[in-house]
Amino acid sequence: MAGAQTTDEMTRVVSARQAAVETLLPLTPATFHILLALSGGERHGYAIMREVAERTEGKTRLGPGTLYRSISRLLADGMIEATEERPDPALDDERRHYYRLTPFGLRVAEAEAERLARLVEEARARRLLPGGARPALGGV
Amino acid sequence: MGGGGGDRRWLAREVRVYRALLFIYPPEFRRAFGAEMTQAFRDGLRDAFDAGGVLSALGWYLRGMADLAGVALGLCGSHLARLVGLTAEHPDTVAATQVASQGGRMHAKSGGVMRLLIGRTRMVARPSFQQVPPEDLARFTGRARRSITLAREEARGLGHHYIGTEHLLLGLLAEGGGIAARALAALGVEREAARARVEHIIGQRDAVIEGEPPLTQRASRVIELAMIEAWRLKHPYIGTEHLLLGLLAEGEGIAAGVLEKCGLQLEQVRAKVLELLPPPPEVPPCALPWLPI
Repeated sequence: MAGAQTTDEMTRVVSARQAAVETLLPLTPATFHILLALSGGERHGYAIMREVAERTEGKTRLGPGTLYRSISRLLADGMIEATEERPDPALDDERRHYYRLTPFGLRVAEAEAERLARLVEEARARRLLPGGARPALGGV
Repeated sequence: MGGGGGDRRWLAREVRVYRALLFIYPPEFRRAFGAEMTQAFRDGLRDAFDAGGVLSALGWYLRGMADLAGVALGLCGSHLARLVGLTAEHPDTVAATQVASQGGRMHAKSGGVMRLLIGRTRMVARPSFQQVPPEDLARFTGRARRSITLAREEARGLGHHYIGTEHLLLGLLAEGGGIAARALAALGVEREAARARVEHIIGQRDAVIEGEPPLTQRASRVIELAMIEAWRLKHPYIGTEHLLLGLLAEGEGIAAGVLEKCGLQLEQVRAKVLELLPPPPEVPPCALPWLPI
C-alpha cells in the first residue's frame, strides 16, 4: 500500500514541506474537497466520494480514478496518511484503508481555506457577492 | 430493493470489466490503489442502483468509465505508450503510440488503442467468455443473442468444434434482421456467398458436434470488443451492430478475411454500421461533470 510510508519518511517529507505550504497552493478542487472531507475525521475512499457528492448536492462528484489519483499525490506530499485496513460497520465487513489528515495536511488545508476566503473578500468588495462595501459604479 | 439476482449479476459483471480495464494504469499505481478503486466503483454502482435503478446505475457506470479513462490518459500517457509499444510489430502501434503520447482522446484512434488494450487485458485478466453464460448475456439484445445461437448452429452445421469469428459473422447474417445484417446486406454481403467463402477457407468437416462448441479466443475477444463498442457509443445494450463493430475492431479473424474477400474495406463496413445506428438517445440524467485533477 502506497500509504504505508514509514514514520521516518513521513517526518522527512513533512519537514521538507514545512516551510513551503504556500508552494502547494492553490490546491485542485478535487484535492481540497478530499481534505475538507477528511477534516471531519478518518474516511475510506468511497466515504470521501459520498461525502463530497452530498456536501455539494451532487454538483461535484469524484470518480474513483480522480479520487485515487489525488489520494496518491496527497500521500506522497505527506498531507494525508493511510490507517491499517478495517471494515466499515455501516457498509459491509470488507476491509478498507481509512485516510486521515496529517498535521501538515491540516495546515495546507487551512492555508488554502484562507486563500479562498481572501478571494471571496475580494469578490465581496467588488460587489460580486452580497454583504460587502458598496463601491461606486462608474459614473452613476 | 426490487432488483433480483440477475440485476446483481450484471453489476458484478460491470465491476469485473472495470477491474480488468485498470490494466491501463501504471503497475505501481494499480498495485497501490486498484483494489480500492474497484471497491469504490462497485459501492457507487450498487448505491446508484439501489437509489435510482438501472438508469442511475448506468449513469454511474458511464461516468466511472469516463473517469477511469480520463485519469489514465492524464496519469500515464507514457505508460500507455510503453504498453502499446510491447506489440511493436502491430500496424496500429504507431498511431496508438501517437495518441497515447499526445494524451489524446480515446476515440481518435480508439479502434487500435482499445484493441491493443483489450488484447493485453485478456492476457492478464481471467480467460472469460470462453463460453458466454446466460447471465452475461443479460445486456445483449434478443437479436444479438439469437445471432450467437445461430453462430453455434453454423459451427455445428459446418462440423466445426469451435465458434470462431467466421461463425459469428454467419450468425449475424443468418439472424437477418439486425443492424449488422442490414449493413452487410447494403454492402452486398450475402449469407450463402459468405458461407461458401468460409467453407472454402476452412473446409467442411463431417464430424458430429456434441454439446456446445466453445468460442475461440478471438471470438471471445470480439464479444468483449462488442461490449466496449457499446460502452463507447453509450448504448446500454449490446446489439448485432456492436458485435459486427467488434468483429471489425478485432480485424484479424477469418470473418475479417471473408469481408475483405468480398471486396470490402473494414472501415467501409464500420462506416455503414455507424450510418445505420439510431439517433443517440437522451443523455442519461447524470450529465454532471467530474472534477478535473
